[in-house]
Amino acid sequence: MTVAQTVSTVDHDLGARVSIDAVSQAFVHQGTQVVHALDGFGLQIEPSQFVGLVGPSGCGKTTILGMLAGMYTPTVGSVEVDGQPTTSPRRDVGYMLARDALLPWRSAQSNVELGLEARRMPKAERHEISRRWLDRVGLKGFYDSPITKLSQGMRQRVAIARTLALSPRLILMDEPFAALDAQTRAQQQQEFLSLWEAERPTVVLVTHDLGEAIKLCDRVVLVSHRPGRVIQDIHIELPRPRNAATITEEPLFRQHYQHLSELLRREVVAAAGAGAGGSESS
Amino acid sequence: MSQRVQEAEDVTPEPATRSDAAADARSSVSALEAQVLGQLLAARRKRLVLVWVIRVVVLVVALGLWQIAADREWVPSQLVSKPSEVFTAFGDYFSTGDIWTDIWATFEASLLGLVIGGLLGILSGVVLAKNETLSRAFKPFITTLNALPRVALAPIFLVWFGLGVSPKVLVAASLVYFVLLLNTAAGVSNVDADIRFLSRSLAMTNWQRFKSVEFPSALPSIVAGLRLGAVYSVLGVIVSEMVASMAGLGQVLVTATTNLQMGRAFAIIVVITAIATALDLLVSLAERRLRRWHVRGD
Repeated sequence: MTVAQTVSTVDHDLGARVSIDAVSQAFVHQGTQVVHALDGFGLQIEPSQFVGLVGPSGCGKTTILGMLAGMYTPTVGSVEVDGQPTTSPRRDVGYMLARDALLPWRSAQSNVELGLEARRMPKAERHEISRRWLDRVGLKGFYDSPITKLSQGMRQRVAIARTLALSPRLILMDEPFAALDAQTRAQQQQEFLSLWEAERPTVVLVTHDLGEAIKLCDRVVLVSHRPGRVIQDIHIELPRPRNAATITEEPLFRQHYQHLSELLRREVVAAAGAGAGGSESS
Repeated sequence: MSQRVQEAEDVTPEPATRSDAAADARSSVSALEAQVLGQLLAARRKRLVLVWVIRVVVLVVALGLWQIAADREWVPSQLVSKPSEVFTAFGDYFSTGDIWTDIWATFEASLLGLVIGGLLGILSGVVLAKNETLSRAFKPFITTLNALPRVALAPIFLVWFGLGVSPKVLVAASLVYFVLLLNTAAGVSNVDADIRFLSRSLAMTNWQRFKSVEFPSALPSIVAGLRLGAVYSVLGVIVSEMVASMAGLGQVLVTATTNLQMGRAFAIIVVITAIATALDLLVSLAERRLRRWHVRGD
């Protein structure tokens, strides 16, 4: 897998600045139960930073993503992207789900075009952009293929193409590689890194996989068990461009991994003890 | 023993180069593939033949038994008729021009009932699916009206609208309406949760979301509803015609049975079935057209 050779001048105009300020969040779950999802969660993200959120299940990290996406507003505190509060979904923010959420009745190309259609882009332009992105994710020639015929890895690539075709300034990822087998996952991680290096949007990645976070991110934020708040915020000084396959051998990688996995383990144990033992989605 | 082993070794050619070995490997794999494929196709062909044999046998036995039972008067042939009689009745009936007026009357009313009931049902289904309050408010009315056998309304509609096309279409449409209402509402509300989340995150307008996500997602339910609707529409029209009408196959059927023309009666049943089948085919055609449209996503 070739790693991106071009060292693009980091253009901060391509990445959004994110500000999460003392956010607390409570919501009603299953009728009358009130769930306290977040408590005083604060995070400042620089443009073009690749940030990973790691924490036990139910700790609120997906809730943070939802707020950044403009899907809901915080009960307390503020969430801002490029200085503006996220009250509704924004056109320059892309969201990647764990399951690809592709439309099964559409071909690969028309799936990639979905976001572009939402922007009322003219047909010719849409076709051109969607095909270019399908080429870039390695699916040249699969334009008209019904997505039901594609493997899981290929479907994830279509999802990536769909997200990136919008040229988002901020990409939110909710365990996008979790549904893939180990080899495909490693391959996809590397491919995504290469694509990211070229454009450098800001990325917030939620994952259970600590190794994945350290591998990909500039910064790993450890979230406590529910109600979630920031416990550790570590900069990963591994040089870029990174090779996802060999980076696990680096001593710095191992150092970070050992340090963070111990902290993570403690939170997972605390979560199991404190909560109703439930793996409710955060 | 050792001599035989030596002979075997002499016979087996040793691959002289790597490319020969690879070619051998390739050809043995493709030989295996060909064999498996061949077996599968043979099995499929055998099954297809068997299926058709069963179909023909069932048809012949059923018609044969009917014919024999009537000829030998095991059952009163006056009442039950027989295939040969039905066949001649067909011929007689179609030789006069009148049959086509009746066929058209029934077909036209069924089509109108399907289209009107269908469109209104789909519209209502969409509105109810997207509006929780309205949906709750109307639920008891819908349940009650759906429980009412709406063919019972035929005599009432006849009093209101006379003997023409309208009462038939109304009865048919009232049957079709509820099927499409329920199917559409279910289809639209059951859009995959991830896809719904995605469409919101893409900042789609309500209309965009409906056109590109909700409607295509609900399409299988809607088409299933239309298929059922085709059958119910013909049902509604025939029942209405049987109560009273100027023209239409239901009326002709009642007349035939009153006059004990059982052969003609069965012939008419066949025609009615053909009409329902034709409507179902129209639905299939429409579905195929729609599917081609929404694969492209335009």
